[in-house]
Amino acid sequence: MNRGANSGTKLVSFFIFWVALATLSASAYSILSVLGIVPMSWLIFFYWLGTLVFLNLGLILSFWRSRDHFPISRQLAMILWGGVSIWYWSFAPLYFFLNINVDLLQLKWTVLEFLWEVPVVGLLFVWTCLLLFRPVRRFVERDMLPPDPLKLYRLVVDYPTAVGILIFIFTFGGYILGTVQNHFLTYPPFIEQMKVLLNGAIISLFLGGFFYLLLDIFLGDIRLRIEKKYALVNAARKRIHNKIFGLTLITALGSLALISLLVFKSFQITVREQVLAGIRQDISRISRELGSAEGDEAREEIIQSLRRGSRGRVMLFEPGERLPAVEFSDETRAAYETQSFGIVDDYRGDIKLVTFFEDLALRKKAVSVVYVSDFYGTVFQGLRFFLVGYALIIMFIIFIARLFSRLITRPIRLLSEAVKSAAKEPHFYFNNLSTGDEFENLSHAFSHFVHETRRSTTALKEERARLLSAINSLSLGFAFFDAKKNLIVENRAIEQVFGRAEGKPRLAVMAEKFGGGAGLFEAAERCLKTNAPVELKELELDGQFFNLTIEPVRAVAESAELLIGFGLLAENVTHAKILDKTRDEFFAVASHELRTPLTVIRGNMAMAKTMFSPELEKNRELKKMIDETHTASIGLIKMVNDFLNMASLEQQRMSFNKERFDMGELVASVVAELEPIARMKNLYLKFVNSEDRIPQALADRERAKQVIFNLISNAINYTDTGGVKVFVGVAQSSIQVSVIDTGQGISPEGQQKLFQKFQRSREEILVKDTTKGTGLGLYISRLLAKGMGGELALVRSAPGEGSAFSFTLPIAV
Amino acid sequence: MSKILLIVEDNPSVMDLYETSFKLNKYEVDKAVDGQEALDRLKSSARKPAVILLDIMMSRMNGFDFLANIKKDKDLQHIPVIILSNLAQQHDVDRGLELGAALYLVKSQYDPQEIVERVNSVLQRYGDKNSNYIPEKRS
Repeated sequence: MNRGANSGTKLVSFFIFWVALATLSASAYSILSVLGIVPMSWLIFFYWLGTLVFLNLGLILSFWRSRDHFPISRQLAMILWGGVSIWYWSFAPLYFFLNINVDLLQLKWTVLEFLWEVPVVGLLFVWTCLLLFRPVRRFVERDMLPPDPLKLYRLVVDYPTAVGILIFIFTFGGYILGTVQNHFLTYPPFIEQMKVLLNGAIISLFLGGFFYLLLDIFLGDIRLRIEKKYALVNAARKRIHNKIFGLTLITALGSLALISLLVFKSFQITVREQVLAGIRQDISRISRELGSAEGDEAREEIIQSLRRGSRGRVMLFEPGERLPAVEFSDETRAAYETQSFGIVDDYRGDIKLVTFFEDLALRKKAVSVVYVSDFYGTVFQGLRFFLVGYALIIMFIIFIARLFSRLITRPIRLLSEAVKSAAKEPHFYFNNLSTGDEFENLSHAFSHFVHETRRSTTALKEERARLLSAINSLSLGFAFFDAKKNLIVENRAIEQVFGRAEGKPRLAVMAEKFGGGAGLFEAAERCLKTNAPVELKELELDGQFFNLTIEPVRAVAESAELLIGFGLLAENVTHAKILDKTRDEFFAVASHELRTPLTVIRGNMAMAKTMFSPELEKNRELKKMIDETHTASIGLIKMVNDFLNMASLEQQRMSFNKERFDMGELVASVVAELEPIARMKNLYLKFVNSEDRIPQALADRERAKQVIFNLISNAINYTDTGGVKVFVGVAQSSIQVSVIDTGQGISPEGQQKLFQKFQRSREEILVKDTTKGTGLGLYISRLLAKGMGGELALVRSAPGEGSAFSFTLPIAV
Repeated sequence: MSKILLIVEDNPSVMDLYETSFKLNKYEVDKAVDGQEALDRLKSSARKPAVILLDIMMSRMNGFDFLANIKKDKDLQHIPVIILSNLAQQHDVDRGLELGAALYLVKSQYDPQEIVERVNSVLQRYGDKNSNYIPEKRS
């Protein structure tokens, strides 16, 4: 493989050397021949051309065999040079010989064109194209990362087009240069010059297209690599249509021009043949007439009758006199000097037929010049009728073809028009096709399809309108966002609060209104990530308060749940918040204002009891009255305290100490305190410290005592026979106090209301019983328990079977 | 010699109650109906009270402002102040103790005799001025 590659590249190098040498030598020779230093003939020309063609073909073939062993820049250079040499040294001469009568052209011009001009123009072209390719080469050859892959991709895609345009400019420029050079060296007729230019234009177009295709194929691989690497599929796909169109146009124009050239050439040949036939007739006529002519004047008159065409002339030259070089080509003059009779073509100045013969009687040489172009008009007159007839026939054929095609395609056109109008017209029915075949069936099916689509669209619209008005009627703000946090729909309540988004993302507007964020984005992110609702409480906005709930929205697709976005609910809680605050303030002030007169009552009663103790001993009635007033005032004060406690617990304004304490000891102290009351009701009150070592609790001792006190005194209050047992133990890494009574129990309905405000579930609400408290006891106790990180719960209860409460607190670590 | 007690209280019934009970316990009682009057009295008089009983909710100058004022005065700051109020919320208690009250008592929780006992115990601890008195956290 490697050896093959080596021998391949060696062969390429060998050919490059010889192509360069041959091209340089041919160029040098052609310049020397123009200067007249070395001879030039068709044989020499073909020798050089053949050498160049052979060497270039060898170079291209050897390169193509081992092209993969060359860097991209060399491959490209070779393709460009290959294109130039194939066209100029292989195909262009053939085309040239076919199109132009070489016999009549100066060889030196051809030599310049093919051996000298082409390498210069070709090398310039190759060099420019390589420069153009440099940015692409840098990235592709060195495998660098381009700063802008799309730009690189466009360069690769556009390169063949650019080279195609360049080769057109260079080639056509070469032809123009050749024509100008020819004009001064060989004086060809104007029409021939135009033919050369047109020929050049056609070749340039074809060559441009050829290079375009060749490079497009060559770069296809690189393009594919870039597309894959940077995922740029379809990045420039759409331009392919333009290219195909352009290529088709170029080919069409080129073919048309070539056909025109060939038609014109055959027309020229026809005219020349007619003129030549006329000249031959004239010659035979005057040779007969001259045979019987008498006198020099008569002879000259007969000879002058050879004159044909508007510019035609007949001249008589003395023997030894030469033809003027201005009007006649070298070949014509040489023939005139060496032959006594001849009819030759001459292209100097214009295409003409030159007839010369020697009149022995006059001892002069007669030369008749007939310009072929003088007869273009006459011959065209004859052709005109034929051309008009031909054009009419073509037009008729086109007309008929069009008519037939329209007839055949009519149903299809009608159908396609109907499809277009179906999208616009609100009431559509397709009924103007009654061909009785598949088309008619198709039209009916289409009509049905349109109606069905219309119907379901209308239904969908109605459904959407219903949904929209439903969410608009919500007093809650509702907005639905997709998974990328773009707003899909929102209701009026949202607009009223946050205003219109006006181009900005809705979520950003909301976050801004809430004082630059308020964690709204973060919350949305969290909701999408965890797939769980996120709540934002009491966000302030212009003195109003909102609770926001962000809920994930899922859709069921193909038996899998898919997160499609999130819904945002905004609830205005300002009113509720103000109400809450007012109530709390009321409780605080009212409690204070109630306490003051109660203090006076309580204080005075207590003072009376101590100061007038001897008098009261005498008057038992009065003592009882004072005692009861004192006790009642203390009860009232306790009630007021409960109200205040509740208010601060509900507002979470109460602070709790964190201290270590022995729960057994605390329970024992409460039991000791309440024991007398139990005994008064003939109940037992037992404290069972169920485990030997109970860890210390970590909580607010006073508040814990308050809860335990409440639980045990409640149990005593609601028990008439039996008694109350209190246990202390450890349950699920917390300390548990259980209070179990044998009292009246709580009904299931009562259990539901047990921990609610102002509930005394063990009795009818309407039965007033001030000794049993405010109905806030359990409510406050549970708030206290929760505030300390514990829990208060009813474990079990049934009417007539007693109740069991459990109070837990965290263990001190 | 009996100890002087200054009661700052705007409610006359409450004032009467405590005046009577402290007089019964051999205190000499000075009275003021608001913070401003009490402050003026303290600054103008050479006879300084041994202890001050202070209400909070009063017109002109409330108890907290009065407390703050006397704690700034070098001549008065050593006098123990016992707040006696019916405001019982935790933040009020904390504020009073932070301002330098020796004790915060909620009136309605105590019979007058219990308050006298509390005042006595505070005065006992304050008898030695060099001792570091740590106020009770909770009433």
